[in-house]
Amino acid sequence: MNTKKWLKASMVALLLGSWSLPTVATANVVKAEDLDVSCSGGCVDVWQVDCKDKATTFVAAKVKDPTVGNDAFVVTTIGYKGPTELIGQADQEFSPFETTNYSLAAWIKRPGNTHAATSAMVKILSVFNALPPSYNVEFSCRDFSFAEVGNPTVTLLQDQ
Amino acid sequence: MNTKQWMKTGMLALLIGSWSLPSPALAAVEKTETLAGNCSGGCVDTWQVECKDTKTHDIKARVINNGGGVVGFEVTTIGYIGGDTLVGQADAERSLLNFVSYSPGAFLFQPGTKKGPTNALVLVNLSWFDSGPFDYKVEFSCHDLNGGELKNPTATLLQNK
Repeated sequence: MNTKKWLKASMVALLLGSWSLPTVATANVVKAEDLDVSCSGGCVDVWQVDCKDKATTFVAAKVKDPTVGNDAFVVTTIGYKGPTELIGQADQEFSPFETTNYSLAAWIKRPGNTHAATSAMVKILSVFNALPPSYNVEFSCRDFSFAEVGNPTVTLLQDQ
Repeated sequence: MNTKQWMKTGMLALLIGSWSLPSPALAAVEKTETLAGNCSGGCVDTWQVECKDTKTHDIKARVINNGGGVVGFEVTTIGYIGGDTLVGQADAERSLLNFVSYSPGAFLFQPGTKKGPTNALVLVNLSWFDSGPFDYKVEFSCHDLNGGELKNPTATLLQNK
């Protein structure tokens, strides 16, 4: 095999190989942010999470303290548009104290087994307002069996 | 003055009197509810508050322990309709661990000096995870640009946990 033929064969092999590779796993969207500590009652960050995948039944979010500090965070998912059953639906979880583990997932769920593009607001609040109030928040879109579907678009609406 | 004349004069006086009477004081809307203790991460109640007065500049909500134990409550106002400056605007306040005083007010403000009918979602939950049930009172009111109270809002419990 001359160099030209070898290159051709290699390219074909490479292409075939890439087709047979497993697709990149759908990942959660993770964001890192800080909360100020100067607000009466605690500062609040609000995220808008848009799951555009038509298979979406749940919009989920969880929070953690990325340093083993002396704070904990509350994550609350809030339904605010779409069918009546979504508006006002709210779920909250606390990150475990003095660990860097994530909280359980807070989520909103479409009614029954319906699925469609779904949006939520996600509120993050510090429990103790301890310094540094840095947090990581992870967003995901899930189908009826809670399997992950396409990544959400995430926008920070209020940054306090 | 005959009876007919007297009645006419009386009616007139009554009408003038009723015009000059102070209008009934506008009171905030107060609701009593219970948070259950069976939710992972703590239960959340969600209220929809509608201030229909065209002079509305802000919506205020505050919460108080209604006597169910030594727990603090958190109240959060959050804008969800009405334009970019309102959607996602949130304010949180916490009540003391008693049932003596309301929390400070959590507010949702129209931008600048803007006014108009305004809606908010109001979340009520415990300040820290605890097993319930715990009773609370929440108070909603609508205000103009000077902080004066306007007509009472409509308050609907959308999620009762």
